[in-house]
Amino acid sequence: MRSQFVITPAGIHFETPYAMNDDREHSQPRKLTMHKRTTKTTDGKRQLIFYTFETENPRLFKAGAGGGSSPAMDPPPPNPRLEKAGE
Amino acid sequence: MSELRWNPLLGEWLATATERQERTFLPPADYCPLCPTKPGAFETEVPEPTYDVVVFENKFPSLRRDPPTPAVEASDLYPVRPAQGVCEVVLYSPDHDATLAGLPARQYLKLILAWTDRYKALSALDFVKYIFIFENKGKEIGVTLSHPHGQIYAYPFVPPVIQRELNQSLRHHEATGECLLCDIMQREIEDGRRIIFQTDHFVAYLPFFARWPYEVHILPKRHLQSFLDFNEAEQIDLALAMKQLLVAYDAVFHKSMPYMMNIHQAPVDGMPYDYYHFHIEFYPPLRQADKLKYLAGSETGAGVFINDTLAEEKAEELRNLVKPAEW
Repeated sequence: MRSQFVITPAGIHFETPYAMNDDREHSQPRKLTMHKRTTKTTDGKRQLIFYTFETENPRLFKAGAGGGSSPAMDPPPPNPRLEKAGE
Repeated sequence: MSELRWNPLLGEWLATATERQERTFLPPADYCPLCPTKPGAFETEVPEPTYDVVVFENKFPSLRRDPPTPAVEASDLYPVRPAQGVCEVVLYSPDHDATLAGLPARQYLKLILAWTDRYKALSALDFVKYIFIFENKGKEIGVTLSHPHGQIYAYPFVPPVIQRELNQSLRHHEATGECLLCDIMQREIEDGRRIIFQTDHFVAYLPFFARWPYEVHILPKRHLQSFLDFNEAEQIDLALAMKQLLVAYDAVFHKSMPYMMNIHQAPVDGMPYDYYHFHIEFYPPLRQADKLKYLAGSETGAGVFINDTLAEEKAEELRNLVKPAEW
């Protein structure tokens, strides 16, 4: 089963509640850890970087209260201009 | 031969790069230089049988880390300087036939992380003043390689379009104390007619002043200057937002939509740009399924765009095509 997101004017929402189900874990937004390896292009003349990624343990994450698109973390400070607009 | 020549009439630099005349032009898929190198097959730029995201220096660059001496002499009227900079190619996928719109949102997150890394690394070069991340997609734009990829130009100066945005943003900030793009975003949200969608952390809208029928700008709701300011939630949210937009684009004419994607960030010349606001501008050149919006006399010769459409109508059309994004 693939989870889906619905984007509405109010934000992103999961169609299905977050669960630690193996199948669903693959379709949840998850933090990626990036690794890079610098080498050369085939002609040996120019820099080439391979970027690889691994998914961090999904149990370190939980869905945000309002949307579920974010890993667990402190929310960013609001934009005061949008605060004035009622956002 | 390559160099930077100053245009005293417009007050801006242009780059000459004569080697680019020789670059590979729309090769058959078996000879795509951006595919992985398969055992026993054509040797591509990437010396391994597969990859996830790859960045390498362009074989036919407009700007080089160690540029040649200019072929012409400078004068008071015509300043000339070496074309110093960096031109990189960003490969989105090993799949030759993929498009960014067709890739899962998690691949966008990988790109955002790679773009952030390149922005940080290139900004450490003392001759780099501006890092421009962009994609030209589709033969209508003039791409020479169809494999899904974007580019990064690290310029030794702030490009003129960015400079105009900076000038306008600073002028607005000095007059009002506010960020110009925060104010534009607030106005678009209040009006609503040109909003394509909102996510937790981003707004996508077809601007009031759109020059292209399907031009869309994506802005972070938080006042950020570059990828370096993003937190993890914003990185993930931008991946979803970009995916939503590109899927909607492909639904407009029921075919892969050509576009130019331009990521506008603060310069890296050491000056403060707190008054500027990160954003991504998308310019699809189609006005109908089989008709291009050409940059003709008024647009190119006078700098005045003529948009044949109403932003409010095109925004409604796009808004109705937005679908849920899969991770």
